[in-house]
This record gives sequence, structure tokens and C-alpha cells, in this order.
Amino acid sequence: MMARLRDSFRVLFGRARFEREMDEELRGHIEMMTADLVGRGVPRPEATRRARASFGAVDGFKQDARDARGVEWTDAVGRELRHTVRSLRRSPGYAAVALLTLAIGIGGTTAIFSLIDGLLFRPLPFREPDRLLNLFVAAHESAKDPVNPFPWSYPKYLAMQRAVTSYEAMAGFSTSDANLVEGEPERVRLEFVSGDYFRLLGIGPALGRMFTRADDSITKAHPVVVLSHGLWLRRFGADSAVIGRIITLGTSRLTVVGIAPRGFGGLSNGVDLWLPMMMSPVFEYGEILVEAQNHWFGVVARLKPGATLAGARAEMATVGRQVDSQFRGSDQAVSWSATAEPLASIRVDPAIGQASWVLFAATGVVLLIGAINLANLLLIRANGRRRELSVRAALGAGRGAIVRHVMMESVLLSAVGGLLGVGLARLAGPAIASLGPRSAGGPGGVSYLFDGTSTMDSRVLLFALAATVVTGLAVGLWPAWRAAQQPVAGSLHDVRVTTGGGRIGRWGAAQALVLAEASLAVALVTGAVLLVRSLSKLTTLDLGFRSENVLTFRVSPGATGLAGQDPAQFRILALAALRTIPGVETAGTDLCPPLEGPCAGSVVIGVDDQIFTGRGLNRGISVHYVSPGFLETLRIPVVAGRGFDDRDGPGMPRAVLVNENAAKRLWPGQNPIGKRLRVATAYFHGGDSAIAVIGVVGNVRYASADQPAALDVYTPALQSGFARSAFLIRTTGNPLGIVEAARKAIRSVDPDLPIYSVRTMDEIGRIATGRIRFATTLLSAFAAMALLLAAIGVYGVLAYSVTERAREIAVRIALGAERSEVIRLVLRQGMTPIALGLVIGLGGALAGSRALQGLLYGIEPGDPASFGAGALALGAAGLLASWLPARRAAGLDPNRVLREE
Amino acid sequence: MADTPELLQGTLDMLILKAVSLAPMHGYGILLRIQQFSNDSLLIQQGSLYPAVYRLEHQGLLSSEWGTSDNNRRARFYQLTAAGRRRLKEEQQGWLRLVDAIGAVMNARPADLRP
Repeated sequence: MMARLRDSFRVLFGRARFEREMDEELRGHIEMMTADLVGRGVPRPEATRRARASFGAVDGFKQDARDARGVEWTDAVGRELRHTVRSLRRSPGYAAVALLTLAIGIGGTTAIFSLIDGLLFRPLPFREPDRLLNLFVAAHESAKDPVNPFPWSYPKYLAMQRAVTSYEAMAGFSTSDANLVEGEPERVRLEFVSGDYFRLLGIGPALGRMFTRADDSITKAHPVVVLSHGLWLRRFGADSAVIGRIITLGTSRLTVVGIAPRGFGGLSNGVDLWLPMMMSPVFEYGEILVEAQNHWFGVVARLKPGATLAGARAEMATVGRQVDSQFRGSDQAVSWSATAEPLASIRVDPAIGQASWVLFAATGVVLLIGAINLANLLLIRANGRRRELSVRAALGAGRGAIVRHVMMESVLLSAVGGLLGVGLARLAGPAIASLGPRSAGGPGGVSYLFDGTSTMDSRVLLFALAATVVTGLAVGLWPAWRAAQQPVAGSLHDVRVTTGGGRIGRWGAAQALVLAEASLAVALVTGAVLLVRSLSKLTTLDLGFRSENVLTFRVSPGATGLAGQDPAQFRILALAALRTIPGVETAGTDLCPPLEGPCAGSVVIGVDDQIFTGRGLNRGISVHYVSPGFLETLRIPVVAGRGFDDRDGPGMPRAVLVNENAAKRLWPGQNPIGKRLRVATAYFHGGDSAIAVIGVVGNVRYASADQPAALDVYTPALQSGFARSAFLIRTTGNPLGIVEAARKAIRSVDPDLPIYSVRTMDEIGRIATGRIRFATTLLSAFAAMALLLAAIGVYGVLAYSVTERAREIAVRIALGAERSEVIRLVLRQGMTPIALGLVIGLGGALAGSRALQGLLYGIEPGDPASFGAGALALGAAGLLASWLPARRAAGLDPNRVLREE
Repeated sequence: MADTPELLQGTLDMLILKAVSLAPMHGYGILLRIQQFSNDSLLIQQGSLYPAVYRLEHQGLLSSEWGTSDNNRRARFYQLTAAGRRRLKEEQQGWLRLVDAIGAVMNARPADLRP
């Protein structure tokens, strides 16, 4: 068997050589025979003639010889290939449509696969990632409520770590940011990590060393830092001498001990540098390693060999309750416990994961419609070539040869289409990835994973190859099988008799395919319409502020920046400098811009004389620190009283504004002006005082566009000690035009202070709706393709049918049929399967739209308008696709058609 | 050549294997050897010799090598592979059994008939 295979390969690839050797061997044979004959006294010419004649017809003989060597198979494939290429080149339109269809289908699935592979399928890039868990504090509002995963406080973490036995190691991690003061100041993202963090994940250094437990044992005593590979390249020119160097972060001087490997961005994603957890009090506000109720970091743990997830969860529940009773605050109304989740599952934003699946399914549907189209086209072509195939069969071509002949075309088309598709995916991948949402915050201190990249690696190529092969075989098999089933004689007698026909029956195959296409396309279109309607609801929503022409950026002096500068004074100077920039209308500050929260810096702890206690400590009220000019910049209306102005500067009497929701909730039916609120200055630091309400302002959707406005309270930023602030600037022209001037203005106040998160408010709005925008854009594109492909399919079937039935139609016209009747005849043929497909597809869409639920805003999955629009779109496309062949049929000239017969 | 007996199907392969089993030889040599052994009563059509030889090589029963013939001509020499040797043995035994069986039938006399 192997010898045969080897020989076949030799023959296939050494074809020229084989021919040459055969020629030489035969020539030698003839010469030897001639020599023998001459030796026996035959005259040379006669001897030559006899020697040659003994071979008979040399060419026929050669063919036999070739066949004997297994050349037949390989040669026939080559011949078939050439024949197919020739025949495809004769119908370039057909070939182009088929290739485009395949390229879009395979390219689309491959591009989406490349995007979601890292998200959904690829194992996390850590050592034994399936044994890694995230540990959470589980906060139940009541026993019935779902677990609300929560980060750990340091004392609770230590208590939990001492009590559990399921893990071989665990480590804490939390992200923050700080100013890197090395040449050009830059805001960098850092991650505080326990000493075991790197060893636990299995991340070794690219250079130097990573942290050990010895780097994380004494509070504030480990001024060491590990740089990310990216930061090392960007800021230190990949200089290996950076190890041992001292860098300045904020006001701290830290020794670089190591460089993390390329591509590692920490569990918080995109981390520039790592610091030991013990260093966090140097950079963060308050005594965060001591405060038992300050829940601020996530915990990752590795299961011991033999330990199970279920066992770990049971243990976490018990230990969590013990820890809770140990640290329970006097005003804590509900009991908390703890739980564990696999790291891999917690790292994926459920909405993104869901959107990914939806999009993957959508590309699959597009590929399927494309494949159906192609099968249809092949079927039509095979029908058209029935006579040729019959001749082949009559001349002795086996069933295998005929199947091979028909399959060759689909195999060739899908191979080329697959190549084009991979090229398309390569081009479109990054564009699609850049549409992707950037999501950072997950539950319990975990950052969601979405790096927004599409990589063309071996996994993706393998996927593309599989898609290509499956499509090629699936598409070709049916037409090939049908071709092989065909009776030889009937087809040879009269081609006309067996084709044509408009009823379900002989043409059932084509009509079934159209029906399938129509149902798939309408389902996809309906899904896309649902998302588009939802997105338009979301983007035309009144958020309570006007986002156009507003620039925002952040700065963070103070603890992580300059020491000794009064933050309020800094804000006053910076705002004054910014307002002098030409083109700036108004400017103001908050702790963070809307839609980029949460950023509340403190809590409301009482209203009038009533101090809040127990459950719902702060009644869900967010506290904002805003400067004069903030409300004007975002055009937030003042409904009653007044906004902040010069009367609310440093040293002035304290005052607060409330939004309409808060006014209604806290003082129902009363005038809120003059009422008093008690506000704590920071989360865990006392100093509350009663402050008078001086105004009521409009509601703003701070948290996200799809959540209604909460209860908001505004206090004067110019009286606040908080270091960080977000500047918001309304400009007359393009807000991005003043970025450099703004940077200069801030530097004129503090030369070492970097500005960061520079964005327009519009851009923040787009990012906030990124998830649904991403899904909507792609699903709409796929739906459009599906619609187009389905229309092409319908058109192809009908156009062919009209050609085939030209004679019948001509006779009808000659016998006096009205043109409108002819049109109706053809339209009916096209629209019947479409109408059936529509019904089936809408049913499917109704079931499938539930998958979109999490992506829909303000619209039900069964939204009748969306379904109507989907049906209308497909109906219109189908009608157009049927109309063209119908018009051609009606325009047939009976005289000419019948004469041609 | 008209009275040349028809070769039974499949026997040509066996004859080629037998001819080649004695010494490596080229196609023309195989032809001559068979003719010679059969006392010129078996004349092989060149047109069927080469396809058969190629088929046997394709099946791995023969292997070939370019060499020089007696009269200094480049020629392809065929020889038996181990598989070819085994096949020849099988075919030979099968052939002898067949000849015996057919001989027994053809030599049957009326006396052999049992009532």
C-alpha cells in the first residue's frame, strides 16, 4: 500500500520525468528489437518498421502504461482541474459571485473567530490556568438575592487566608494609577500585588526578578517596582541597565528589580508597573491595610492538587461567615459570606461573551446562506451540463468520475474562496477589533478581559481551513450526488423534457434552498433591526446633560503628585488658566466625568437631624465634588435655588445641591431649599457636618446610559481636599483643538503634572455604549450580507428557470396570455418559497431574540415593529430579485423564441 | 502467430515475475526470455508487456533501476522485490493446482463415471 502511494506521488510530482523515462525505455526497446532483426538478416528499414509495428498505436499504448502506474487518478484530477478552471473562466460572473460569497462567509467567520478565540476558547496564559480561582466576599442583600461579588479588605483577607485549606497559594491584586516623573511626566497604571502573585500565576521575569514574599512583608518598607515590558520599551528604550535604577513615582523613589515578560498586563489588564501590596498606603488615601470595611482588592488563588471547586466553595461559605462575624460593623444589617469562581469564567464580561456568541452565530448564518447559494448555483450548472454528463456516462465514465467532475468545481471554488476569506479576515480583523468595547471593571476587583486584538495565528488558520473544507464538501456533495443519480438515456434523448418546470417537484431542491435562505436571512435581519432600534433608543436618550463640544481630562496632584499643594487652590488656578484659552466657553471640575464612574468620594450619612443607620447606609446617594462652571459646561439645568459660584469658594459657608430625584425622595412634597444634609468627608473618615441645600438641579445619568439617574448630591470642589479631579471644558469649536493649550495651562500651574484620560464627552458616550454599538454594527453588516446573498440566490434560481422555460412562456404569450399574467407566474414561483421562509424565519427569530436580551435597551425581544421591519426588508429584497427575471419573461418575443427551437 | 495460444488472464503477470526472478532484466529482455522459455509458442504483445510491468512496479512487486544493456544501451532493469518473490511463489502454486485440476478434468475417461 505504501509502495503504491509513494509511486503515485512520484508519478504525480515527477510527471515530466516519468514521461521522459517511458519514452526512453520504449525507444530503447524498439532499437534493441531492430538490432536483433537486422542481426537475423532483415534489412534495416524493414526491421525498424516491424519493431515499431509490434507496439501498435504507440499513444494508446502509452495511455495503458500510464494507467498501470496509477497515473490515471492523478492525471485525471489534473485534467479535471484544468477543465474546471477553463469552464469557470468562461463564466466569470458566476465565478465572481461564488468566490465573493465564499470569501465573505469564510472571511467573516474567521475574523470573528480570531476576535473571540482569546475571549472564549483559548486557555488563560498562566500556569495550569484551570486550577486558578477568584475569591470574593459575597454580599447578599437577602438570602434570596443573587450573590453580589465584592472585593476584600486587608484584615478580612488575612483572616480568610489563615482559615482556608483548599489552596496551595493565594495573592491579592488591585489597580491604581500614579504619575511617573521621569522626563515627560506620564500617568501610569499600576497594580499592587502580594508577594506570591507572580509565582502563583507562573509569570517569570524577562529580566531581573519578580517579587517574592520577602518584598511584601512590612508596611511601607519595600520601595521596589517591576516594570511591564511595554513601559520598559517605551520609557527606558529596553535598556537592561534599568535594573537597579531608581525611578520616581509620584513622590516616592523606587528601585527597579525586574521586567515582566512581553504581553503580560496583570490581572487588571494594561498594567505599566507593579508594586508590593505593602506599599499601597504610600499611594492611597487612608490606612487601607488596616481598615476592615475598606474592600478594595481582588484575590486569586490556586487550588491544591485534589481539591475541587465545589469543596472550595463550601469552605469559602463557612470561612466567609466566620470572617464576617469577626469584623461585623455595628450598623451592618445583613450577613456576608464568601465564594469562589474559576478565573477563566470571571474574566469574561458576560455581555461581551454573549455578544461574541451572537456574532459568531451570525457569521455562521451568513456562511450557511452563502453555501446554500453556491449549492444552488452548482445545481443549476449541473442541470445545464446534464447532456455533457450523460455523454460522459454513456462513454463509460464511472459514477465516481462524474462525482469527481462535479465536486472539483466546488472544491476549487471553496479553496480559492477560503484563501480570499483569510485575506479578508486579515484586513477586517483589526478594524472589527477596534470597534470592540474596552471594558475594565468586573466584579470583585477583577478586570474583564478584552484586549481588542485579532490575531492570525495557527489556531485561526486551522479554523479557516476547517470552514473551507467543510463548506467545499457540503456544497459540492449534493449536486454531485444528483448528477450521479441521473439516468443516462433520458437525458440524452431530450434535455428539455427533464429540466424546466415551476411546481414543487423537480425544482423542489432549488425552492427548498431558497426557502432556507429566506428564513435564515429574515432571522438575522430581524435581530439586527432589534439591535439598531435599541441602539437608537440608547443614543437619543436624554442623559440630562449636553455632551457636544466638551473636552474632558483628568489630573491627580497631591498624594501621588506634588506634596504640599492645596488641591482646592490648584483647581482655582488651573480653571483660571484654562478659561483664558481662546475658544473656551466655560470650564469646571468633578471627581470624574459622567458615564465614567463610579467616583463618589464620600457618603451622605444623614438628612436633617436623622442619621442613617443599618441597611442601605447611604440610601444609594452619590456625592459629587464640583466647581463653579461645572453645571454650565454640561448644561445641567438649575431647577430651583442657585448653582455654585464665587460664594462657594474656600473658607465660605458649606452648601450642597441635590438633583430632582434626591429632592423628591428625601423631602417628598416639601421645598428642599434650606434643608440640611450630613456628608462624611471620605468613606471611612469622619468629620460629618450638616450642610444647607441651596439649589435643585436636573437629573443626570452618571453610571451608564442604560441606567436611570440615581440620587445625586453636589458639594463644592473648591472646599474639598480630594486631590484628583476631572476637568470639563466647553469649547466653541472642535474640543480636541485645545488639547495642547490645555496641557500647557495645567503645566503653567504645576510643571510636573501630567493630564490623562483626554477625551471628548461625545467619545465617552460612545465608549459607554460600546458593547451594544459593537454588536449592532457587526450584526447589521452581517444581516445586510445575508439579505444580499439571499436576494442573489432568489435571482439566480428564477433567472435560470425563466431561461429554461422560455419556450413554455413563449407559447403562453403566443396563445394570448397577458404580460401581467406572465409576471405573476414568475413572481409566484419566486415569492412562494420566500413567504414560507419568512414565516419559519420569523419564528426562529422570536426564539433566537432571547439571546439578545442582555444587549437590548428599552425594547422587548419580541418587538413587533422590528419583526415587521425584518419581514418587510426580506419581502422587498425578494420581490426585487424576482421582479427582474419576471420582467424579462414578460418581454420574451414568442416569434423569436419559438423559431430558435 | 495465428496459432499462438491465448494467454489466460493474469498469467502474463506471473510469466513476467518468473522471467525477472532469474536475473534483473529490461523490458525487451523479458519479452525474449518468455519467448525463449516457451519455445516461441508464447509471443507477448509489446503493447501489453509494458503496462503489465508498470503495474507490477506500481504494486511494489518489481523494482527498477537504470543500467546498461549488453550492447551498451541505457535501459531500465527490473528485478523482483521481496513481495514480488512471495507473489511469484503463490501464483506458481496456484497455477500448478489449476493445471492439475484442469488436466484431471480433461483426462477423464468414461470409466471414471460413477452411476
